[in-house]
Amino acid sequence: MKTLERFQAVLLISGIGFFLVSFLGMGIAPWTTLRDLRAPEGFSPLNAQEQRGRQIFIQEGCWHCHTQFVRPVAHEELRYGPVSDASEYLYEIPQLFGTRRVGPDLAREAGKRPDDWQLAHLYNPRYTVPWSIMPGFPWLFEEKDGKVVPTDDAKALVAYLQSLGRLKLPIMQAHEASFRKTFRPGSPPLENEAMVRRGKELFLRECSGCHGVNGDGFTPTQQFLSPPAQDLSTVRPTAEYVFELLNLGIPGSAMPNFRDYPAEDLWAIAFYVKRLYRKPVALKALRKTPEMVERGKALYESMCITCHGPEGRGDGPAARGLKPAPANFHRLRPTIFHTFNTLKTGIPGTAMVAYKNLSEQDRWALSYYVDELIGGVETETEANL
Amino acid sequence: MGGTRAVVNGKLVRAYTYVALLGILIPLAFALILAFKFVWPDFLGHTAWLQFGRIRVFHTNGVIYGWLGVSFLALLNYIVPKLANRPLLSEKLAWWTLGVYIVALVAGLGGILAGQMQGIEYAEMPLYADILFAAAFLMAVFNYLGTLFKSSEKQLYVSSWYFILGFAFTTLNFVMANTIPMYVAPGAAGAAITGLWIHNAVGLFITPLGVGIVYYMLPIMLRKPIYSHLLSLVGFWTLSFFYPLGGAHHYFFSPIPWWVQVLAVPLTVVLFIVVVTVVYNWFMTIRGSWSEVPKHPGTTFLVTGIFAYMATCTQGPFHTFLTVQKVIHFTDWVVAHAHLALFGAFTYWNIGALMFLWPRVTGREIYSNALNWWSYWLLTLGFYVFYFIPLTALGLIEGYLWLTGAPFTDSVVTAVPFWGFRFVGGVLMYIGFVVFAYNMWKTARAGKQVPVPEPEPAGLFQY
Repeated sequence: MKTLERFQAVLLISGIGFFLVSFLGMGIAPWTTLRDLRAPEGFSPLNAQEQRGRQIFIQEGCWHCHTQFVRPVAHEELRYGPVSDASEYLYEIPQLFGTRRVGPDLAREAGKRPDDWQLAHLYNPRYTVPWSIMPGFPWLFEEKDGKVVPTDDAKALVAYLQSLGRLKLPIMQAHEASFRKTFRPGSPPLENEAMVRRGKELFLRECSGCHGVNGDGFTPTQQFLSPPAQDLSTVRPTAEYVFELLNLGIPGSAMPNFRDYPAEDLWAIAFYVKRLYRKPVALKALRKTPEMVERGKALYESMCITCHGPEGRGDGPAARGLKPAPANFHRLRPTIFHTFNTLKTGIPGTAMVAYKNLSEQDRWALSYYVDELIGGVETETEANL
Repeated sequence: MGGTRAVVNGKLVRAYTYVALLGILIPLAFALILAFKFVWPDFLGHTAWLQFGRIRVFHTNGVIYGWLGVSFLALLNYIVPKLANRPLLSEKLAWWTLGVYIVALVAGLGGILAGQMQGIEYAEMPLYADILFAAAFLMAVFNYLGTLFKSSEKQLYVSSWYFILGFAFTTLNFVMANTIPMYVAPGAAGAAITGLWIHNAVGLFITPLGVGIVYYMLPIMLRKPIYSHLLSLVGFWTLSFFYPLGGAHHYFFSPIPWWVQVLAVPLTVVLFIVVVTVVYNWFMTIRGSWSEVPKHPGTTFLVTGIFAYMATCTQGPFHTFLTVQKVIHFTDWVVAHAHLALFGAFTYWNIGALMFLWPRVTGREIYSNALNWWSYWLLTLGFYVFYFIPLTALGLIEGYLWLTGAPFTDSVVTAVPFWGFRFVGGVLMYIGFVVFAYNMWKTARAGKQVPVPEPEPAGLFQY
């Protein structure tokens, strides 16, 4: 007993000896277990830009709130994707598993969101996710000609985020494809005021960053987004359409899916979005005449039909593979003003170009024809305010 | 132990203490900003060096190395000479240590704010600061070990065992963390070693120094020896053997080899025996003297800390049950748990010890006993009512929201009011620290002079 109280015993056995025991047993032995690990097929190490992004991820302490491993418990494979395995981390020094999740795990971030969403979110997370408490990183951006543009560091960080878990991307994509294939909106619940109120609450929480609190798409987020977020005040989408988009997102745009919400909540948002339509107050349209509609039809069939399809259902022969898909007018239900403006400006980041050499009259003609296609919702009085 | 020779250099203890007080006030000012950013994320959002991620790490590193580290050393400058019954091996070296340590702190914490953080938790300071820290720590270790080694005392008191353990382990552990997982060990292998480091930093740096201090302070405060020598021996040797083996429990359900994780469960559960041994020993020492506890704020701090230590060390083994882990891991529960240890236990011990010893190193009476009580209640109410309880509850809410597949949004939106509570608690705690620091400062300046510092009763630390 007395020996155990001696200076030398305490120093050499407990201080140094037990350290070595723990170091060998719990530090080195696990390493030897992993010694035969080989890089899985399709594995590619980070390139120089992604490495730079990883460096910024470390320096800014991102890894203190965002973990990088999916656990085999707590249904995490449903929330994030395939469970992590050691071979994915073969070249990670230092590892960035993380110990705390203030924000979501990032192990399966690759391909989840497009770069424009990532950049807007990096500049100010509230731009895309109003409830987020993540810090913004405005110093990774600079102002050029009155526009905020990302620096190389911001691009590197996004490149790194897009590399996280790319090895499992095929699995994620296959899962997504099968979800899209089997998705059925089902029949909507009965619309009531309580639901609309809930819809409003969720719209403000999740959607108002890009679409604006009034849904008019007038937000600082838009300068980052291509295509921009839809102006919801000039369209009258069906609830089924909105519900479907909330479940599936819009591939090729920054619009994510919100399928982790219960269906009832998504229907509530859909009902609320229908109410964001505002009657235009100060726009003048050309008077609608049968000749104009005829002219519109001719123009439509020569210019629009290949993408938007003969009935305006977005199913023309050229529509296949377009991301985002061309509008289905029967579901989006644009006003004539919406169509008129879109023809003038196009939608950046999509196949819809601006038809600058169309005369104003032709653009009204097309707008009226599109309106005819979806059943002539625009009454004459409304159109001639 | 004679106690007649003046072996303690009061100036040295005072200087270390002032640095430690800055080491708590500055990182906690950042912690307040941090807590506020949880409820208002755009607050000071355009300043890169005040970015959430950077000041979070400033807070953790600042408190661990700046406050706990320096206040431990301050107390060791008092306790080690007392136990060895001789002055420090070299007081000059102790001054140099402090100097290098301050440079290391400024360089390391500044480097973090400047965006040069590294990727290992609690070892985020850049390489140049690591080297400075290692140098300062080695200087300190050399000095204290030398003092104990050269002691003419026949017995090595239990506190000294813990100090020796902490010195040796931490030197090796710190070097390991800043080299192997940082530059060599990849992925899951690196995570196992990182787990070992995180775990040992708490368990074999902070724990042995803190426990050693309590073993020294309790007999002095209550003026009677420790209850059982045998129990202290058992507690010491089981801690030093078993504690470092459970490190993998920081990464349960991760890609670390499963056998390591499975082993970590029983090896952590066994720590319950360690804590019961130690705490039982302390409570049996206090038995019969409970009326002494509320008489001095320093004693109250120390004993409150013992309760927190018992609670947090009971939580630990409970956390390693995999069903519990599934829910609470990654949540605010763990944040509350970590603060119960580092704030509730170790910070309380150091405050209590400093408060109690301060008249002996300044030769003055405490400036205001009332202010000390104010700081006790501000810290205690601020922490338990507004911090520990809300965050523990929040951790459960977050864990179950994730478990039930609710959208991630829910876990954040639900948390905001709880984080608001935490900010209020933080403000109260900060005021408590300011009061404490002010009182210490004022005592050294304007306290009533006590001609001869009260000597310890003879034979307290002999068996």
